[in-house]
Amino acid sequence: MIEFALWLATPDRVLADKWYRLFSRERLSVAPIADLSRLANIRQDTWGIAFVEVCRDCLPTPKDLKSFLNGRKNISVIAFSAPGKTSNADISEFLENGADDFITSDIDEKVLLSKTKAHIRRLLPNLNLARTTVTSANGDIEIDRVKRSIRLGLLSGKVKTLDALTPKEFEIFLMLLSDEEHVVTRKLLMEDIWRDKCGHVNPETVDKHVETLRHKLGTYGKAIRTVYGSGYVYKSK
Amino acid sequence: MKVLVADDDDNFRNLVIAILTEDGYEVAAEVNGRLAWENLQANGADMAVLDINMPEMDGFELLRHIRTDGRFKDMPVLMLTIRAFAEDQVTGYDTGADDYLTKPFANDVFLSRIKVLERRILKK
Repeated sequence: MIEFALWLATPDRVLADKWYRLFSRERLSVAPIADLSRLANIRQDTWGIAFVEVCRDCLPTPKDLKSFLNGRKNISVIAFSAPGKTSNADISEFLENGADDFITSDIDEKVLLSKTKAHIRRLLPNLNLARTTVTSANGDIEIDRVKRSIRLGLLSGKVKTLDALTPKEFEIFLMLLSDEEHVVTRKLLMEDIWRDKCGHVNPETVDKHVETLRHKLGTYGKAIRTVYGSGYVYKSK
Repeated sequence: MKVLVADDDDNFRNLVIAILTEDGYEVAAEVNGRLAWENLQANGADMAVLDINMPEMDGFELLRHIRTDGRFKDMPVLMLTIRAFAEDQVTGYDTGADDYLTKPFANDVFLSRIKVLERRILKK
């Protein structure tokens, strides 16, 4: 079985903790490492992305990156540094010596997550997290996040497309179905869907959107269950 | 290696064409998403560099067309845009972009990012 992991190599404990929490929340396996050499003997059936800070201890030069990669296909390296700390010429060097991306440590968390998922899609297109379509556990509903379409009734063969959802209702349904049988908190829904405006949104606004979503989903809406004081969970089985 | 470039801004489009052709890439350039989509369907390309704000069909819509067409669903796409908001970047990646670079950009970094995409094509 193929395993997938993310590794974080940075001396900055605060940043490591922040990104660790971010990725863990998405149920990704994350592990801090001191430097790339820790991955030298990793098994060939373990795939992953290493976020490595450009610094003396973790990744001093582009040559170090090149010698580490040396034909490896199962590890993708995303180099990073504090904003302004690495020159454009050096960024180019890292990219041309094997880094799959170069980011700055102040990157917006949602951008980092979307970017990471894009890398995962490329590395392992069949991994659930990265797929462009999300299917309910019972196989009856499919959401396509690229086409932004929802198909209901796949099991019965009487498939119908649901196109009456607003963008926010679509996002809520996608989050619930992507994490089926786990509680998705109101706080997480507000942060991920209302983003910069989440400070101006009440939990009641989320509840109203979920209520409308349930209504529009008809019988499928009953699978959205309220977890009092916390949020919502989707259970198709 | 053929690159499709879609940008309605003459200055940026010409700059991108110049950077790519100087490095040996074949470039097909269009001034809006609709023409770029027609060009891609007719002539194909190995990768694409797309602006977002374009008349007739914007870069996101063009990217959706690309990702839902079996011929191009794995084609590397770099979004090159003035839109620097996190929401736009998230939309770009979630729609299927491989990379996202904001204007103005450093020529050498842009070219290196193109080479990363080229490396992915050659690895397959």
